[in-house]
Amino acid sequence: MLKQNKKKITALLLVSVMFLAACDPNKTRQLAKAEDNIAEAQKALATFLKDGVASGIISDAIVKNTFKPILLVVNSTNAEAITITRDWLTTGETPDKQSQLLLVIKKLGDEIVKLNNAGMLHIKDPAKRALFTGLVVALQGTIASVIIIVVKKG
Amino acid sequence: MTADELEKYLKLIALVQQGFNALLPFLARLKSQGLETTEQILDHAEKANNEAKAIIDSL
Repeated sequence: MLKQNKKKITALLLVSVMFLAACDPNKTRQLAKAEDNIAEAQKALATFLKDGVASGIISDAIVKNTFKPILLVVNSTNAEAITITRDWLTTGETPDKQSQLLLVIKKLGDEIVKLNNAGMLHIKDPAKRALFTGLVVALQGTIASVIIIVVKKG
Repeated sequence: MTADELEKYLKLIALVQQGFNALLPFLARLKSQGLETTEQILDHAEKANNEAKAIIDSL
């Protein structure tokens, strides 16, 4: 029952984040909000891992060798997305920029899958793992909303 | 309600509470985004991304 409820809560969080990010009518504004949320989610995840090492729920070596490289790619990829959106805001939408952004978001999505798998594998405490998964799901929801924003008309 | 069921509900409440605590900064940020221009949101995104990089680097 607890497992079913966890899935329901996770789905609710995902839908809420997607809705909140996509409810603004302006495309570049929606993208900016989503990229801002991705940056905040990274901060939350990195702080979670830092605290996790300090409290001994996860080893320093695993964080350094597994989580850190993934988070660094997420960080640089989001920086790329922010640059493209800024350019989009100044010069307008083109199919080229759309493709560029979709490629960047795909890369981001791939890294999030790796992050989720690493969490499942290395965070042994069930409550902490659920919290980590919640943060990753919020990030996935935001990334999904970016894809919807980029491909929708208008 | 059995003790076992009660324990499951307490675990669930603790989980929801942890989830909300983790989401509070997001929700606060979503609220202030509504009052900002797109450029300001992008500036904030860039700043937050750099702050995230600093935390990641320190791991």
